[in-house]
Amino acid sequence: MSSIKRGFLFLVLFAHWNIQGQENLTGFWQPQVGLGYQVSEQYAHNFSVASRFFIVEEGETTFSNRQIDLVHFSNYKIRENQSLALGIQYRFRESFDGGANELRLTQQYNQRSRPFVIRFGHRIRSEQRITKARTTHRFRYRFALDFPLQGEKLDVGEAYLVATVEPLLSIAKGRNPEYDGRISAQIGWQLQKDFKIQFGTEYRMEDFTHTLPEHVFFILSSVQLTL
Amino acid sequence: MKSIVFDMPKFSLLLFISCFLWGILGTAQQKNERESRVTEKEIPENALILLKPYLEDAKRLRYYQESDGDKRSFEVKFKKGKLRYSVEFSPEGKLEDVEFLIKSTDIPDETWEAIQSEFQKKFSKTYVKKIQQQYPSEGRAESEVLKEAFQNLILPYIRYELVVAGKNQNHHRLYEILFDAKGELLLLREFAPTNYDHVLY
Repeated sequence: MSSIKRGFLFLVLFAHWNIQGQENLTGFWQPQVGLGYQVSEQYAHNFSVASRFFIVEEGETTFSNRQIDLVHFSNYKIRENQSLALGIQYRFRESFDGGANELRLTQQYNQRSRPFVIRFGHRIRSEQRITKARTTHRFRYRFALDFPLQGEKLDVGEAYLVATVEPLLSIAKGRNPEYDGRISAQIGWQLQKDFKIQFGTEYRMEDFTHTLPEHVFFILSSVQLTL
Repeated sequence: MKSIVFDMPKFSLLLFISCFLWGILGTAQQKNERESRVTEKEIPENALILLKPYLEDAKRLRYYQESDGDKRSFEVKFKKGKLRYSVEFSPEGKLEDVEFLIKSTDIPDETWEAIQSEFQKKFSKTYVKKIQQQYPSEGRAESEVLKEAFQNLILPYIRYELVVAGKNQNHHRLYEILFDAKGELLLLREFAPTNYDHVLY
């Protein structure tokens, strides 16, 4: 294992240890099922359903559903390693914890490169989060890297690691700008040519310029099917 | 509405477990091209003896096994000086080829012009992602091929293996293209597109 790979594993373990020391943190489990397919050679669709469950709320262990997201992305390849995408998402929350339902529109640019074994990805998104009360504009940049854990290329039956870092800025009328930071690491398996599963963890520091930023951790699990 | 709230956690859990099991069961039915890391002990001894003099000062030494249906081979990859080498052997330990990464400026001008002219015939736009200088063994004396490769000699039998992103009729695809020492096209092979959804979303 190269020093970069070791460094990221250490970072993930450190992040996990660090949040365990915090009081009043929130924990979620977020399972997700995604389905992707090519419409034409340049154009692809992705549909997903994600659900978010409280597992830790105000320090207490619990298990209750907070929301369900239905998500669609239309992805257009502009170069071999670059793409533009438009997304639409609806979040059902009112029936679960009484929070506002949300319609979200997303515009996305992604670029990736793979000099050797590790693949690097840069994703820029702008979002409009529309609720009854307000529209929040969010801007985010995500740096991602992924690499196979056995050998130099990912074969069927082999595992891989995905790690990301993402700063976010949210702006809404009559509100102070909010800065968030996210870091995640997931381990995945390419079980079939068109089927992957992933498990991992994500740590979010929300509104980190505020005197009392919120600490949120996620247990992530997902399946991704490709037709 | 209340009943949906109570049922959703069970439904999500069931959906996730179903997909997971489907994936596990399906795996056993597939046969695929594979590349995997192996230990030094798994490499044929005669291959290691042949390569040993060139592994002095080598860094990032890695051993791999590749299998595609019935065809198997071993690869030894390492960094020496500023070059990244890849030496391929048959399962019997016979040298198949030596490759190392180069830049387009390392290719003689005439050859590079011939390669570019071939690109213009085949694609409307190209972006070269990787170039390897290749020394195929093909019946030559193995020790000579290794010696010439590690001296970085430009000889008539060498080849250039390129990974190129090419645009054609509005399609962007990735290709592996093999040229001879004069820049004549020997092989053009398209890469299967990789799915990136698991990282992107």
